[in-house]
Amino acid sequence: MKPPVLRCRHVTKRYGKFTALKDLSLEVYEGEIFALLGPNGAGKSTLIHCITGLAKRSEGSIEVLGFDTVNDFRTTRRLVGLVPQEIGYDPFFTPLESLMIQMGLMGVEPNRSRAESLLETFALGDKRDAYTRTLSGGMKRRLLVAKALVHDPRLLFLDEPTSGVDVELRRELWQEVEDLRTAGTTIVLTTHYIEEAEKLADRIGILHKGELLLVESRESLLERHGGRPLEDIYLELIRKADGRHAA
Amino acid sequence: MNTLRAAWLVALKDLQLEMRTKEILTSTGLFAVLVVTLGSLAFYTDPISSPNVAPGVLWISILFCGILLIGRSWALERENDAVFGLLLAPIPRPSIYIGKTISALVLLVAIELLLVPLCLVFFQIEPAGILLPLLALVFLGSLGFVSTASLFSAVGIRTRARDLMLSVLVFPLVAPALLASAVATRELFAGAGMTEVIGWMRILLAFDLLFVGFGVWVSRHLLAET
Repeated sequence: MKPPVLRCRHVTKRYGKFTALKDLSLEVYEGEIFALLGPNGAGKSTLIHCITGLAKRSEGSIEVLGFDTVNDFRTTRRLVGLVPQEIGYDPFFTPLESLMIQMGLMGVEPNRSRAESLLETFALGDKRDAYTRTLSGGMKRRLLVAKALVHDPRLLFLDEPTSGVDVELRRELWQEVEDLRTAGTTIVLTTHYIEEAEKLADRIGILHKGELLLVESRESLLERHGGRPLEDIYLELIRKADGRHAA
Repeated sequence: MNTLRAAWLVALKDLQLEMRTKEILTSTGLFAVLVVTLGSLAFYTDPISSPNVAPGVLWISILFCGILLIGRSWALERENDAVFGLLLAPIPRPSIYIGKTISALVLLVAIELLLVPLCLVFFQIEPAGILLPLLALVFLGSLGFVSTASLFSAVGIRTRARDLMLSVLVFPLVAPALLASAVATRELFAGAGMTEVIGWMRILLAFDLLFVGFGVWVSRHLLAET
């Protein structure tokens, strides 16, 4: 097996008395699509924030390609890209300007041809000089993916990328995720759409109330459960975990 | 990337945005002109008493204009979650604070370049001999104020009571610098030379160094991970 791109060991994150992540250990390998499933409030975004440097873990260690995300934060931030759940953008910059600015901030020499190529890849070439605020929701989301890729990250986090988007755009984004994997990017995808994980993921992790209930390859998970739909397996695991918590 | 280079990129982004929208310059600039105009109409009595009134009007105008300007500058980051782009970047956290302070200072100085001559004209103050020390004084006062207000605006990224906090905490903190600025300006308007206000300028410089240094140090914690 290839060496892990991401290694989380016994990660705990507390906000005051509330524990958002409990002793979580996880490895993600090069070139795979890892889907992190879980209901709202499971801790998916918290884990991503701890890895990308938006939140500080309370305990444990997180390494990206062997670099610690706290002690070597500048290195690890260059290695990861994040497409956040919320659409964040500078409304008065054009997509081309947004990418050029992002390149500068990510420590990459602003390169117009690279920015234009990214815009073409995400079907935004004809909107490169339009104000970002005039783009549709789907275009803004694609721009976010392009922004996350300006520095060629080795590990890309997609935090609920298809949340609230229509079926057509969802299919387009799935294709773009597949293309990125083909190009060699390791992808961690959080979602609460089971269908999305079933379609895209090589391995699946299920997170619930801050605990990682399961990590397994999609094939073996489905095979082990006799070909039952992933949605049923997911719900069964969540209910069992709820039962344990109640007891 | 070093802190100053990253700060410059942050400042450049803000200034590019302002050149595009002219939102901050227009709204705060017009407000500042209005304050000076109203002040001159309300308080002007004669050329002898006007040098005593003008400093107050000038600094009140700079203060209100600055607080509006800095609040808006950080609000633009919060709206649309644009701040994520900065927080995710592999740049030192203080560079965000320094960059925001530089851009706010540039915009405030641009407004002051209109405000100071307007104040001199409205209050019939002879600019000969005082213009350079006056501009230096205005710059030093503005630097202290902007560096303090930027710091508390940065806190506002994570709190809902940001406007209240900005007003309640910033005004008392910058009071010594504002008093020094107003008194030194009054001395200049009354005909004092550079040598007579240099003491006030030193106080302002010390205040600036203290607050810029404190801001850089504290911002790494204020803008750090939660």
